[in-house]
Amino acid sequence: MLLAIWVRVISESVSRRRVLLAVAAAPLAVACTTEPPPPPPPDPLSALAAQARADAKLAQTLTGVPAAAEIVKARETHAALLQAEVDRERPPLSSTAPPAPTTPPTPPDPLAAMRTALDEAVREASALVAKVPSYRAGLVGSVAAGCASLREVLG
Amino acid sequence: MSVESVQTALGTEHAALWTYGLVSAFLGDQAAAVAEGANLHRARRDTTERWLRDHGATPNPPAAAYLPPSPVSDGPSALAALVAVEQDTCAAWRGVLERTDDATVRISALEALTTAAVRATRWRKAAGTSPASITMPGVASG
Repeated sequence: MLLAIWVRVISESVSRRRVLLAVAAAPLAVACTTEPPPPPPPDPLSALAAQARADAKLAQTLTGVPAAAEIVKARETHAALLQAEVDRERPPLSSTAPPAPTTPPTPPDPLAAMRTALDEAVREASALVAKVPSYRAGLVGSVAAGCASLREVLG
Repeated sequence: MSVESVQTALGTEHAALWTYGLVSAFLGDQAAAVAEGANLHRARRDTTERWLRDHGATPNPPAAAYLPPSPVSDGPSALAALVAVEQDTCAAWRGVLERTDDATVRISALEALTTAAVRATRWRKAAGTSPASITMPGVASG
């Protein structure tokens, strides 16, 4: 407020350059006096990466399923690519890896659980495709299509 | 601008349609799956052409013929040509995803990418390729 009045007063008396300088400095003054901004919301790609890690773990429990090995490998690749994008945009404060997900109890029917998990992965990634910046849309789109491909192999 | 990338994607849809026509003679035992794939690409071509016209662009016409990565002379080479053209389609639609902020175009491009990835997977499965799945459809190494 004070600053605004001051700007108005000087705008009538001093040069254009002085006024521009004052205006440019105004946000700085505001930035110095306001509360620090709240932490940014979690990166939506973090959830996709966690989901991919969980799917890889679940696929490891599948026995007698020929596609299990390629599901493990593909979902680990998805997790690594997504995590790399998360870390690129917001470098982690420490160099520690993301916390390992606590191993959930093995579901009674791991094969059915795997199908559901892959369907869910297709859905989640697809829902995000239209909401992310374009430089991320290709990555998220390929993850969605990759999960659909895995689902096709699993049958 | 996304029009250019959509034109590229239209080009791969033309190529896919042409390839499905080419291979049908060699995949008589999978006629239904070949017809289904051709129909999906025809529908995608039509909606893509419509989108381009609606956005003031003239859809690029199909070429007279396309060159599959290797000659098609039997069942296995026919399957390989289908896999190649579906993977090209994936790459083109992923390219659209990366070049537009229009949510409707993104959703439609994702649909095309996913459909092509699933179809490529089916043909890889039929060909006995291992792994049959494609980890990152639309990415050259994927």
